Amino acid sequence: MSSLIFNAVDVCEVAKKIERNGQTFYAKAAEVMPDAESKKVMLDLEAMERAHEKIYEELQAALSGSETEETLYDPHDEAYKFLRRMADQYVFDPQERPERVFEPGMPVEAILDVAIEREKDSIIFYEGIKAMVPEKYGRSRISDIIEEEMSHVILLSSQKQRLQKT
Amino acid sequence: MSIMFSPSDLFDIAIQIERNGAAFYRKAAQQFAEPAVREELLDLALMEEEHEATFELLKERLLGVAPGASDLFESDTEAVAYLESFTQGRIFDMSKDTGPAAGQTLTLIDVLRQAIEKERDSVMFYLGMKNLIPASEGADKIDSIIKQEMSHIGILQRRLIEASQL
Repeated sequence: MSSLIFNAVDVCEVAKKIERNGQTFYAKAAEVMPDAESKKVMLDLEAMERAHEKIYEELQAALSGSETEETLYDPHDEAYKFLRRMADQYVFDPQERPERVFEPGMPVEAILDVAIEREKDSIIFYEGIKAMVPEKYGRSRISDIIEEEMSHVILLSSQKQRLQKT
Repeated sequence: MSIMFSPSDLFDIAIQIERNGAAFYRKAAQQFAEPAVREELLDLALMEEEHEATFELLKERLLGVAPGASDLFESDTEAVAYLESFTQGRIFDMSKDTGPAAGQTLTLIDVLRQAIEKERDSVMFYLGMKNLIPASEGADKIDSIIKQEMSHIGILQRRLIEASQL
């Protein structure tokens, strides 16, 4: 993706990439979790990220050919600049491979911390997207995804707390 | 054991987050001789102080008009669980003093990274808070603070990219 061309359709592409990274991450995390419950949580999270990817795909299809492909709704222009920088420098790093966060012997707690950080990043990114996408193109669906990512933070922090006690 | 909190408690936490943020930016500003950097960090400190004042006003208004402002949230909802994970310090420690410790020297890149993390965590908390505070009690104000914090992240990321290229 060239940073010269960046619109709501491209933003959905980045969001899909984030969700795919999430799926890979959680699938790998499930393999190293110490018990059945934590493995299940990771696999459930993987499934939810897959569902989010599908929503962004649908949103992208709805936005393609719309006026938002040419012009973004961004009254302050800040969200657009923010997303472009984030996509270019941070989230959409072509070098990034989610499985690289798993070093041999990495403690489970550290893996859960990484997962929480990734969820926080995605929430911030989607908040930025929300400011750009008009309601008629599915802003409320992005709000729903944000709510779900917030619930992932609860799940992950609860698992971390539970595993620390065992 | 869960730790319960009231609407009023949420505002106290938000006030503390903003106070910590302002203290962080002021301490960080002292570390830099370059006037433009100092000025930018002090501007961010001022904005956090404005947010603090907004939360103080919202809290006063809430205590003045809502008889249940000090009642504990009883409902076992996801919104409460989400904020509980913050009040228990599982997501980040809000009670921790911020900014470089005495004698510690941070680079501009360190400061910017820490600042982005703080801004992101504050957005995470305010998103949860917005879900629990009724629209009539200032949810729209919280929303505008979220937008401002998002724009801070944008500013800080731009500066981080510039500083990384030096």
